[in-house]
Amino acid sequence: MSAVTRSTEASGGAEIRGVERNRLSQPNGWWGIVLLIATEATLLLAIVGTYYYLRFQATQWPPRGIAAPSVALPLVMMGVLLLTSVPMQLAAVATRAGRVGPTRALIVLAMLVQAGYLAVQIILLRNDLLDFSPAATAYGSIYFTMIVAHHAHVAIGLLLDVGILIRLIGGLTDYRAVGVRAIALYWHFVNLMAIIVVLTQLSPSL
Amino acid sequence: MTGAGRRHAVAVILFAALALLAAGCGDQSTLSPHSKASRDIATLWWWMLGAAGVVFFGALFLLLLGWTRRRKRGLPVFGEDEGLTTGLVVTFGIAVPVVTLIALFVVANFSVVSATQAPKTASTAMTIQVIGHQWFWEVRYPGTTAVTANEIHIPARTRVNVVATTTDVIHSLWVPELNRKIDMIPGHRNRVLLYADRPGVYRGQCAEFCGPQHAHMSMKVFAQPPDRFRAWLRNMAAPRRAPSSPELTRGEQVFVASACASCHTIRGTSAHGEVGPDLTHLATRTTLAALTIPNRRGYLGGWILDPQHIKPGAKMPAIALGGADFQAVLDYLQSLR
Amino acid sequence: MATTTTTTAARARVDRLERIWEERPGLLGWLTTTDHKRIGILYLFTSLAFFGAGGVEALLIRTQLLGPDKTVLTPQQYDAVFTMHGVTMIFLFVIPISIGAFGNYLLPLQIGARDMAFPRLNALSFWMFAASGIFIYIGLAVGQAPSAGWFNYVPLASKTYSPNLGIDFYALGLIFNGISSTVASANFIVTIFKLRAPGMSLNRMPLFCYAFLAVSFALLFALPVLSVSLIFLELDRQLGFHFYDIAHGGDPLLWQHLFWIFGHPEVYIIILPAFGIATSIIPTFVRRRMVAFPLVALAELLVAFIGFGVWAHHMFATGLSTATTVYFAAASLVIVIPSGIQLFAWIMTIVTGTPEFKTPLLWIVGFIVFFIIGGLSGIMFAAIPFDQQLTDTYFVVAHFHFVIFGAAVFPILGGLHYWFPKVTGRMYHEGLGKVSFWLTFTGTMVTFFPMHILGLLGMPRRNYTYPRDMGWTGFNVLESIGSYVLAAGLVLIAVNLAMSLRRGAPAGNDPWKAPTLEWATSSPPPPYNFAVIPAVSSPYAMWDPEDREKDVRNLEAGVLVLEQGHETPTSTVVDAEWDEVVEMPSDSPWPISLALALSGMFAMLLLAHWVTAGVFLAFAALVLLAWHSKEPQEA
Repeated sequence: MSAVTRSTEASGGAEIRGVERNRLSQPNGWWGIVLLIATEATLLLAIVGTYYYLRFQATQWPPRGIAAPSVALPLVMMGVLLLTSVPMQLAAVATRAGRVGPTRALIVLAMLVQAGYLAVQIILLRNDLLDFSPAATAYGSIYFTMIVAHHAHVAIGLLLDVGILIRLIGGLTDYRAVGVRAIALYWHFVNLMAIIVVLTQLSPSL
Repeated sequence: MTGAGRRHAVAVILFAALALLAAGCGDQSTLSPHSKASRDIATLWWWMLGAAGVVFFGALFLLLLGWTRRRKRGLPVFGEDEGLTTGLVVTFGIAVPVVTLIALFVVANFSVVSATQAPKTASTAMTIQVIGHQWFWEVRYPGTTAVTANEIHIPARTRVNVVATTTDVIHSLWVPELNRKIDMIPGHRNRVLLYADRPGVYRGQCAEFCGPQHAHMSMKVFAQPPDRFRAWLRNMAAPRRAPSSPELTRGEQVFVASACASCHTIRGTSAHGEVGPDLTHLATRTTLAALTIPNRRGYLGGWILDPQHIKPGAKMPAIALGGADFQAVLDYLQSLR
Repeated sequence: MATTTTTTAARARVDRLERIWEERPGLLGWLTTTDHKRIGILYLFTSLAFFGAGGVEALLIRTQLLGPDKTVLTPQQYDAVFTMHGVTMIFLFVIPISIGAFGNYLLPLQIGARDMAFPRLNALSFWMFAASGIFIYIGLAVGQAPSAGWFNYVPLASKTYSPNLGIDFYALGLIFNGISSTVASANFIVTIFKLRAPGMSLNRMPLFCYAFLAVSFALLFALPVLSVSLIFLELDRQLGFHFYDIAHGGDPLLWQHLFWIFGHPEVYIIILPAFGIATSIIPTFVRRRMVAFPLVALAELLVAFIGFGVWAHHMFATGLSTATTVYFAAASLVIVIPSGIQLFAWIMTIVTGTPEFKTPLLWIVGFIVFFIIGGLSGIMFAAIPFDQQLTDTYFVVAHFHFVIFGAAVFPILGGLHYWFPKVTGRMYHEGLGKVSFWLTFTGTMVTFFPMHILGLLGMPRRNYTYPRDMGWTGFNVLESIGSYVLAAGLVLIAVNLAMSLRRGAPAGNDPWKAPTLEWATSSPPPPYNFAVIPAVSSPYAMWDPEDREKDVRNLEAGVLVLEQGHETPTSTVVDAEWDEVVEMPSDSPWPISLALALSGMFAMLLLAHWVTAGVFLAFAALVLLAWHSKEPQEA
């Protein structure tokens, strides 16, 4: 009992490495983000489930007058987004070693790509909106709702990136290290959901 | 705990007695079945009530035992062995329920359910269409031009396939003495069997909350001997009885020219409204406003002048008609046999 | 433990803890508190206020139905009142009082922790809950209450058939409410996983905590589905989308599926905390451990899990295919088994113990009786044709009131008496307690039992009136009389507890000689809960005297006191091995600020002022930034 560790006070490379070594189980913040992911995943899956529910009721999908979605660009974009899991994970690993420089650089790198992804996605969404309206058919309603729900998760991820980068200006503490790991985990979830959402979105053309 | 125990025993016995009593009266009771479907469901209920009674009184007995032995630990004879008590929990909590529930599942969901199901499409002698509206029932007889409202006529001892649909919100068609209910859902064509053992009148009511006048959305099923049913249907399919006097002709003219015609149809005239019930043979019906009031001259007049007083929220507006016009319309409507 | 402190060294440690954990005084203290006990009390009084409102609505319903063709309420008012009654009792009373009040106050105490895992999130949950409840009631106040029933079927709830803002108040209010409950449930799970006193491995955790673990998981997975269904509804209503509109490729049944995928787990969410309360009260008053402890723990988790696979039994009359209905009927029967296990475990524990029928145990016995009745009628609904005959009649109303009022609220009322001494430091009046129990019990029976008969006699639910000649009048009159008796019983409870607040005999730490850790500390407990993180070697920690003696020695020796800050230990998930010490946040203005910003956002969404709603969301983001400006702390 004498070796009581006060992990949240750890700052600087050596102390954080020590905390990480001594810690037996995942910290509270990590569990919090896991549960957030669980509930958000349920939310997105309910939306995706609705897509298929409506689709299997419909005689024609997409309905007459709406072109099937084009495949190439969204798939490439999805691949690009998936790649950002690599720098995010590396950033998480770097925090375990207490290395603040690489952590920052990797998050910035990932964030640039993620922001680019969101920008291109928003342009694609605008183009879709010119073609058909969410207020015309149930197809349009679920199509746009599903995609916007996905975008919202990407946008939240970007805000988390910005938030943690601001915190990291002041150096690394164990609190922030846990934060980086939690955010990396969140991005893995967003990317996994990107696969499900994009493949569902494109499914009429696949 | 004896107090609670006794009170419950009394309540349950009372309940059984009252339910038995009730089976005889009331004309919308699930316990006075007039078809195989309803009878099977009622029988299922009595068996389930019996089994539930055994469980309830068994549990009550144990609680009572707990009270009488409140100063002694353990069970009589068996003592307090942890393995034994766990064993009893497993027996009563797992083993007994599994057996009972499997029996219930098989009987209810394979045997009884088949008696209540809609006839197979090809096997049925007769199909009728019931369409829910806020707040009345439109009844159509495919193959004929007959349309009526709130009073469903069927031949007795005939398996009738009812197609249940809706034009607005969800309603539920339910005539408990004849069969279980079926929801009427926009975009869905649900079907249910209606069958009556013998001629009679069976009351039914909307069973899915459908807005402010859900409570006044009732209907009656008239099961008739087949020949009388056929005569009724012939009359119902015909256009309205042409006015036989100048007074009635004037009534028709007022009706057609007034707001009435924009919501109601009288076949054979230029009134083709589709919001309210078809009135071609209004005078043959026994009630108005989906069983809210009897179909008599005074009520009919009151309904036309101030429907919102009788059925607040109903789609029918008050119709302002001059004294003579009003009497002429009443005469006319009462002539629509 | 404060009272057992003897040595000056120990006294000094306690004084230091008092200083470290001192709460801000006055109103500001309540608005910014992060103490789980104070948040629990806020939850208690807020949810009780809503209970009062829901109760008045119930009495209005029963008065309208006191005879045929009565006009106490107009049809539109009646619809609004029964909708608000359902929404209030489920979302603003039973769930917040059981999870928010009982869970918040007791769970950290029972696991020997000093607070919840995320104290500020906990405050946020409360303020969002309070705001969402007020939001929904503003709808009623401005005459735009929802009136399509608590399950709000489309198309009745669509813009076409419900044009005023009532449904929007309902939908947005429940999304807001859902965020609050989601945050709370995540908080409970992490608290249970990580904050158990070192040594309290999962098999030494009280059954109460198992119930809350199960509920929290059920909420976490059920609420998003409700949110999705409500978001779709608002998109349909406000932006002209077509999720539920059959004319444009949507489907009204989609609402029913989504709603009941949430709605059935919700039933177990309502009742599981009650199970937890029952498993706390029974061992105390029968002086023995629960029979079949592992089976009961497993059953609590199983109920929550299987609850997700039975939703379509609410839809047997909608014309689903036979194969579908049969599957859901089978699943609905399977869930009987874990309920049966718990039921017989309670009964066997009472039978083999030496029960002392004090007020809390009386409520639990009443609960068992009602749970059997409600459970048995519930089983009947797994018989598809019977369900199709009796669904949407008063038989269902009887069934779920036995389950929700009889089986969920009775333990809550029992719990109010049981933990009253712990929270207030005083005893309630036992005689009055017994009288109020019998009054409420009788009232409940007389109100709800005849509803079975009415259903069998063909009376549909949600009718604002009924004809004279149906044979329904007598039972309706009986029920209405019962409801007044029931109300009198509830008022008597309030009188008893309110009077005992001042006049009750001092309770001491542990008036019941109860088995769980909340009784180890003073009544009411200090802000830091325990001067020493307690030693635990069984789920009945207070019945292990050696452990309690060890606590006293630890305090004197300064072991496990954590007197250097606002601290609590965390431990490993399964075995509860000592892991690390985390510093907990103290009072914070940010949770209530965030809740206010979100209230603004929801109000603007209601009024379709999208840009202003966005501004409030931006405010919320800024508040979050401020929230994280202090570290090291847990959220």
